[in-house]
Amino acid sequence: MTGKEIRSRVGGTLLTLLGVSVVVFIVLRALPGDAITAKLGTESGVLDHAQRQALEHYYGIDQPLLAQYFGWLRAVLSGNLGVSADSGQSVTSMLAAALPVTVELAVLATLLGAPAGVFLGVLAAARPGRPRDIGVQGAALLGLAIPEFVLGSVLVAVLASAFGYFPNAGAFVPLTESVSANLGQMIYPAAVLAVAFAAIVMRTTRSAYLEMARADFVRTAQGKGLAPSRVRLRHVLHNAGIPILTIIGIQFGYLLGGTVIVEQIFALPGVGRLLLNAILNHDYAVVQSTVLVIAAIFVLVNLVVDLLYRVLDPRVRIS
Amino acid sequence: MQGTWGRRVATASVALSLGLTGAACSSRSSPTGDAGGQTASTQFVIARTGDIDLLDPHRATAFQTVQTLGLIYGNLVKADSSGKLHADLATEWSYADAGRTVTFTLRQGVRFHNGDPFTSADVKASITRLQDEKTSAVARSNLSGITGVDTPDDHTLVLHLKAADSALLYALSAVNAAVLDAKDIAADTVGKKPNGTGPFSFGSWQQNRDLTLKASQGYWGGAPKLATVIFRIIPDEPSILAGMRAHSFQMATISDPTVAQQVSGDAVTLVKQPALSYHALMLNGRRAPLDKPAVRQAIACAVDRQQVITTVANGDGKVTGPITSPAFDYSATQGLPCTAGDTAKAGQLLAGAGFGPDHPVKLRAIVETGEYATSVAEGQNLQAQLKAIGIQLTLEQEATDSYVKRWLAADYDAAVALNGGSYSPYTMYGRYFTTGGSLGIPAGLDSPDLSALLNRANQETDDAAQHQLYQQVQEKLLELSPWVWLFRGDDYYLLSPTVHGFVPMPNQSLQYLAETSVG
Repeated sequence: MTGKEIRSRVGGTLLTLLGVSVVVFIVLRALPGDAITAKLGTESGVLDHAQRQALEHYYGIDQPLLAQYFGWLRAVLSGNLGVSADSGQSVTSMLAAALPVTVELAVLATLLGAPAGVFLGVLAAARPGRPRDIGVQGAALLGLAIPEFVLGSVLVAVLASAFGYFPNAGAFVPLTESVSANLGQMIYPAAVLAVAFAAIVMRTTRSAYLEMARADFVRTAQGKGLAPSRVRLRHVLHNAGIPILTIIGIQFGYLLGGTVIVEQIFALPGVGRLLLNAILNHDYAVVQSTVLVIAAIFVLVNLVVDLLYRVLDPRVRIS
Repeated sequence: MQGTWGRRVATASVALSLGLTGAACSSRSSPTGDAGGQTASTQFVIARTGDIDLLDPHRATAFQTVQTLGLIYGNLVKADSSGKLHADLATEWSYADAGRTVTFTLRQGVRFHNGDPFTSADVKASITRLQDEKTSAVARSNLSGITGVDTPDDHTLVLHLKAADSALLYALSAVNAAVLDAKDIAADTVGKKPNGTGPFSFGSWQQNRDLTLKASQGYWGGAPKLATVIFRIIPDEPSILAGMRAHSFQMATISDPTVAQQVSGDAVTLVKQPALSYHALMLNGRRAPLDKPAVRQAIACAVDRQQVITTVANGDGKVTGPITSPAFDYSATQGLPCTAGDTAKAGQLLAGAGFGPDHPVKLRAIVETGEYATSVAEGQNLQAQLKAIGIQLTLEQEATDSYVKRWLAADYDAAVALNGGSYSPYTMYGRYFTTGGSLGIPAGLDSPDLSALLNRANQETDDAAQHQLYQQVQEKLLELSPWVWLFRGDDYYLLSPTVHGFVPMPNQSLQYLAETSVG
């Protein structure tokens, strides 16, 4: 990357993050209700004027909207993500607890789903139109069609009924505390997420593989007498890598954005639950800062994927 | 080559999955479900879907917060499961000056969890804090009748009231009127680390994960048998049931009747407790055509309450009138100009008010989605039942924030509602139906007669006379039919068969955990 490219990339990233922060701020304020009605519900009608004013001051919603936005932005630029009006905890500490859970879940789901998807995609594309291809495509369709909440709920119910086991019975154990206990809690939700992940990767792999398999250089390689397995792996799959890598990157980014349903079913204290609760409670600082961090990570993942393109395809490097 | 590579990947994936599954199963948590924690005999794990939202009891409104802080803090008095008041931090109390002065004798030898002795100064400081508008305590309006607090000595407290107020003791029994340590109030540390006089002391809290309480060895009523109580957050109710089946929790609270219906087998005991809260169809009597009492009465007559319970709550619930406290157990329908579900009488009432097939009543009803499981089904059932008498009920589903906004502004013809209850009828309805009540606008009815009757009942100091007055209040409410009272739903408690001594409460209090044991 040249210096100009880096500057352009950093500038674009900052503009993206600024845009995200503005959109999130506006959308949050456009929602009906506020932190007080979210907290008290119909009981908020019992508050007299002075009590309401005191609460508005407490939640920081007595300030003009512009002052609220720039106050938050100033704090973020100085490294302070704000304080949750709901719990009084710093958003940084809340994210520090929730983000590793979601990142680990996304990584595990990717580790399980991506190889499986690539393998199944190649398996299907190697015999297009044959029973194996139809079977794999059918399985992938099923994997996409079954909602995660169904798969997760069934898995939890079967584990409890058949094995007397509930994965998240105990307090959440971080990876740094105990690898086996942590993986015992994380493997099932990761497996649930991996099903749809693998299905999407499989479909992309299959179509990219089939497209490459028809390319002239593949025919040339076959004509030169290379072993079929070498042609498939080194020539076809290698050159089909970019769309596969792209879809893996995008899916990984989505997983980092929070996997609310799976986190709910398996009681994982990740970013999805953090964000959902914050939205329900109109906890503005938590929502704004969390979305900003997720957006930043998403941009970072995209950057890594772009860099990997250069590894996979020398033409990208040269251009 | 491709096949070999594929097989390698597949083998590695399967091995990884099986290995981790094996690790998971081999690291199966203890019966209490806490990895690396204490033993089963000392830990009592309660699963529930929501976490507490704050640690300040005076600002507590969410039921999980009230449930939890109720185990940490004490009150002057407390109610039992029948709604009868008993001594707590006050051992006795007496009225003078026609009920305008209440003198409490306070319990001696009580200490806060931090070791500070409990005195009348703590009660005075707590009431002062509750009355301070900066505290933003919802209970403030219930204590507005207190004009002065005297503390003649450390163990005597005198409250001066504007007028006799029988609801006051109930207000003082609520968790959001708990007694705090005066030193905590002065130091502004309330809500940072809970410090009460209740049976359990605060241990730790990891937001949205779990909260731990420890048995208070110095509790004046004797140390609880459960050394540690852990509230674990499992957001999904079917997952809670799965966890109970896997013996991961000793107890759980759920609210969805469809999940409760799935409870079976020996691993879990289902306990149902009718709640104080009630389901109702609120009618806006300030809008035509509901400003005509006959139209409201027709709706109240047409609705078969039992059908609603059967249809939306799998039969779990109890038909109720306005007053839900077990201490005031009146007929649920006496006062109505008909029997409930009498569509013929309903039709006559509508015809008398000038409505019929050619001139139907059309109403828009707001329905809150997401807050409780049965709301939409209730709306749909009511829609079907009212159609039988020619009333067209259009359901407008709203998320909680939108619903609350429209409800507070009385921007509806009808509202499908789940309203909180209280052991005190005045606490329940004074704010709705007395003149100037804080929720008079959404209540949708302004009746000076009803207001006067409610105030008389609240100021009556003779129990029998008060009982009769509240019966009149109930009948008056049913006669005026500002709302259609439907049913009290059941709260569901899932218990391990080894749990003994737990008694569920209509107000969802877990106070009997202090007497619960496992074994």
